[in-house]
Amino acid sequence: MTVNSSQLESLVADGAKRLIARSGGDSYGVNTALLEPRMRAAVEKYLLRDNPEVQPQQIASFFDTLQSDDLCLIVACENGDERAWTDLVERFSATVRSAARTASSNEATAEDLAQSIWAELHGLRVRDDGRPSGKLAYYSGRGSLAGWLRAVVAQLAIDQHRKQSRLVQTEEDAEFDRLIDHDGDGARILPGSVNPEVATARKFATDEMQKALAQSIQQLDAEDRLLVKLYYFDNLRLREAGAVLGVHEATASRRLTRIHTDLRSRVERILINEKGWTETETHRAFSELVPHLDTDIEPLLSESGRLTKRGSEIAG
Amino acid sequence: MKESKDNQMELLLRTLGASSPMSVDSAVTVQQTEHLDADEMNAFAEGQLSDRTRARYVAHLADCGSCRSIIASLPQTVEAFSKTVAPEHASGFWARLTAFFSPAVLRYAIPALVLAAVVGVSFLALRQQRETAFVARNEENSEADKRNAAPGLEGSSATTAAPAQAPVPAASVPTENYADERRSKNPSESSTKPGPPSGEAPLSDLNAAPATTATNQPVDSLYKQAEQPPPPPKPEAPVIMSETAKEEAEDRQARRRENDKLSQPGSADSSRGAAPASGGVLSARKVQELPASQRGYELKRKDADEEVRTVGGRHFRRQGSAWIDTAFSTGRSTINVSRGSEHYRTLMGDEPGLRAIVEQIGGEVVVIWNGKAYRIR
Repeated sequence: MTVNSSQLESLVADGAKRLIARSGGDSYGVNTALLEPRMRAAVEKYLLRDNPEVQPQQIASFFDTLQSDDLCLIVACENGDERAWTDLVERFSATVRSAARTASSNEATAEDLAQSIWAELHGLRVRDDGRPSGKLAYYSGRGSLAGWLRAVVAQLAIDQHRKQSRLVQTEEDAEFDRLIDHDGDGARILPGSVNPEVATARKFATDEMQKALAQSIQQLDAEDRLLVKLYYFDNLRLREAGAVLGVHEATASRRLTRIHTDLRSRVERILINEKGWTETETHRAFSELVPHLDTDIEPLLSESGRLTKRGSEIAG
Repeated sequence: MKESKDNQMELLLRTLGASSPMSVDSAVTVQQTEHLDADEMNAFAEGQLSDRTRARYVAHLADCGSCRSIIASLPQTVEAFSKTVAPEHASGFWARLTAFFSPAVLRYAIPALVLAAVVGVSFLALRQQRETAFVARNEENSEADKRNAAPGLEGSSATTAAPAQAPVPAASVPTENYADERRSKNPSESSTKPGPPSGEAPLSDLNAAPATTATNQPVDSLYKQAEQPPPPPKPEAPVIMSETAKEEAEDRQARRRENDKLSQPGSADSSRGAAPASGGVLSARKVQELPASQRGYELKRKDADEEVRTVGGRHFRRQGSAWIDTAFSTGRSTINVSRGSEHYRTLMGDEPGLRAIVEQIGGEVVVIWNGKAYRIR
């Protein structure tokens, strides 16, 4: 049964009352009128958007899991409560500084980043009602305030890095698109190749295989694709990649093994059906060309400053 | 083979990942979906999302390197994973079953199970070995009994068996042992004797009303069949002595093999002048005559301080105030003979071998002789 708007309003009002009652000692004078818009936005964002058929008790449970203390603090800060701002800075400056240090390459950059965070949170622009417009409005209380602050710091760090970096996202995406859609005519002749003709042929075959692989990766389901991207492209450890997906390292390892098999069959199918390779050529490419890739990519890895994978994390 | 294929895919994926400095994602896909804001990333990292919402975020993250890099950098991503999982992911029977078979549990459960299995198998093997040893001894004992019974029968046949009535050869003597009779709850189910009367008292009720003869024949008629003179006792004695010596040797061997806790052996046979055999071991031999299903029971009885003795090559087990031939089986009919009665004197005259046994064992005794069970008291 779909919850109608009046039911939703009633649930929001009740939820706000319960949230204020749950907030420990100090709710900073926040009333239900201040909380209800935030809570309504949160339930629409995290529950109703993907679950239109949600039941009233699920909505009530959703409200009961919101972080009451943190949400009251942020709402009070947004409302201009100075005491709340003081408490916010006092309680979370260490968290912000730590997150800034993690996202920065040096101490000075980290200090600048931390200072920028507070400015971003407070907001330099002023809204129509005269109150500053900052990132505080985006905190829903779904997760912890400390975690939200770390995410804000990481986001700001990425934005600053992109502004300073010469390589931008669109260029990288275009390069990947070229890998998939276009025939690579800019094949790089690898240094140290004795026979240019053989090297060119090898490079061409390798590029074809990589295109087929990129295409196959896009065909994977989201979870598998995310794991592949985290492990092979973002260079996360298996444990870290598993943590993003919420699975154990061993589970992630088994999934990768399964994905290898899946990808291989897809790549072979693409090479045979779309690129016109024979089965023999395909199998020979895997057995003869791929082992040489370890040597071929070494310069690339050195240039990017990334180390090769630490050991074999994937279960055999 | 499989491992090399995995390595090939591993290399291919690493090459693809290394060929682009940043993560390779579909620009088209990213443009079509909104980036995750800090609140959504934090909710994802802390596992505070419904399954459907999470699936939507995963689909975006799979194609958006910037959002992915932020998510991966958040320490709460790892912290939340190490803590309890979000309720949406932890509920259900399969989740609990999966948790039960998680590596952390199996790490300790499997060695414990292996250890328990080893201990169990060892225990069973030792027990089987013990039973096999009992079987070997009991088989030897039964053979010794048969050999002893055959000459006895031959000796007594002169006094008891009429030519018309062929003496029951030892081989055909039914194996009336405790187990068979005890196993048959219905006393009327005597396997060898024809038509045992119902209401036959079990072994434990020997002090109950005396039973009738197994063959339903008058007692006196049994002795009228004995027309041959009793055999000279001398030939028997050597047989008895040799059998006893053999039994004693076997007893000593068995005693060494087991930690026998049985009671003291019975009084020595004066005619033999030898130390009495260990009742416990001897009864163990008898035990081996039993079917496997009864052995356990008999072994327990053996272990329970039962008094046994060997007289005249027969093994007797004390039960209450009576000495019961171990060859006697519950439910078997007995011929009641009172000491000092005319019947007793006739029987003793006709069966000197029996007399030797009965005179050594005072009080009430149940003995199998010539295929008949005599209850002398």
